[in-house]
Amino acid sequence: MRLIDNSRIVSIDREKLLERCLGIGSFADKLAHAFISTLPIERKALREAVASNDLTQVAKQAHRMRGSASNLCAVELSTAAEAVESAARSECEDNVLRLFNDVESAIDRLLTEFENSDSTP
Amino acid sequence: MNLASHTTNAGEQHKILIVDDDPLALELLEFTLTRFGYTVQTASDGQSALDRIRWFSPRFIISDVEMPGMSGIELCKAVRRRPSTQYIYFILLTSNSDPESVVEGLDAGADDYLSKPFRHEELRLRLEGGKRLVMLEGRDMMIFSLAKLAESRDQDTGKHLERMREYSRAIATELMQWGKYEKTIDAQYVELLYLTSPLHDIGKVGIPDAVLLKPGKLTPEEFEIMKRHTIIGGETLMASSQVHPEASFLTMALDIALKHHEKWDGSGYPFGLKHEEIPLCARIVALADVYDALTTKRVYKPAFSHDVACDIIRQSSGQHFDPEIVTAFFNIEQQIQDIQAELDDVQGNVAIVEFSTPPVAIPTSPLAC
Repeated sequence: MRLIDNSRIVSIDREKLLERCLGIGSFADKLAHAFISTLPIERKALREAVASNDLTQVAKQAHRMRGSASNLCAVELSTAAEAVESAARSECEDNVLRLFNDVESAIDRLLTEFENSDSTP
Repeated sequence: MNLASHTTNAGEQHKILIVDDDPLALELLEFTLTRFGYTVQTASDGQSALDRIRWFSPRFIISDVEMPGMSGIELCKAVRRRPSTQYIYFILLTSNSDPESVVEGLDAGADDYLSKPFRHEELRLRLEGGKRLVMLEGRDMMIFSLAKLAESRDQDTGKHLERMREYSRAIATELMQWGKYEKTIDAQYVELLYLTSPLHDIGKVGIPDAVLLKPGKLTPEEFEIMKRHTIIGGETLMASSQVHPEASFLTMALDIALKHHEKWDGSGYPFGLKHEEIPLCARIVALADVYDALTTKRVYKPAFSHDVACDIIRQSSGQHFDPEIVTAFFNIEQQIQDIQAELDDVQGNVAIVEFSTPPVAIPTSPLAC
């Protein structure tokens, strides 16, 4: 079945994504797969930036993640990434570390949902 | 609304280049715009975009702001700097949390901006607005180019068209403030007049060189041929107007080209119309055209000073010119002089001629000398 129809995927606003894809489910699926496949790479880049305390890089990576998540209507991840970006731009290191946990959680949830999406909806 | 229904012939001629370092954003925009009927190319950074512009020649660019290397704002500046690309309609994609980039982008020369994530309807409407502007720019440039082409067969006219349309606009703007013209002249009328007045002599393309470029006085037969430029211009614009009845500027252009040699007292040509039988736009252009011809050097006459030209116009009020338009002209006399000074032909006005007593006839063409 199409990912876009799978009720196990709740971290993406599927209805909104379908609307953004002009109602074409196959394209929404294609975008969602592309998004999920690049998510681990984006997470790694953001993790490294946070670990090295490079706030400029953190802001850049978080901005990128926010953009992708926002395009895919992954609201929770988009909101969490935006908070990290904002904290990094304000040079609030403590907040960056704390808020990055929310990003990690949101990504974990998304990846889990997609891993489980092959089983019964 | 069914957005897919906008997948029309919106434009083979409407090519869009999308620039974003986020492949998902690129794919989503490309998909959407293609569905809207646009021809789309993509680039993932500013430098690639500049390279792509060279062979793709887009009419629109939609660019993300934050990109590695060259930012969207730097790309916009680069596009504006190049003469060949400076008229590309540039839309910046900005995030809601970054309003400063909107100001910075507009300051860099962007035409519009779109918040991310974009909404289809907003994207479509902003592009429609952009298309209207692009078409208007193209139309205005084309009209003036046509007028210039027609005028290029004349000698020594310099910036005649530029001055004449400025005079016409200034007179119309003055009249707009008069109660009598409240319902006739509005801002759109003034702009249409500015746009179309340079077409007044477009019919001269159909006049043989032997007549058009003759330095001496025309014979009566040659005069009849010369007079035909109003008919030729009118017929040309009439043909265009019939094909495109929705183009209101063609109607005004037709009135001007056909009737700008009519005179208030009925002694003009081609129809001998008088008073308000002559369209207002043609009456305004008649005065603007004559004033400029008087104050610039032509092959058949020297340039007269502003004061001499004014005396001639004053004497011709109620005969050649609509008296109200003459009054409007004198109400803005300083403005007229300012326009003349600003758009002066460096070589054209070398021989300013002063008369203690102004000549009675108006030597605006070899016909009248």
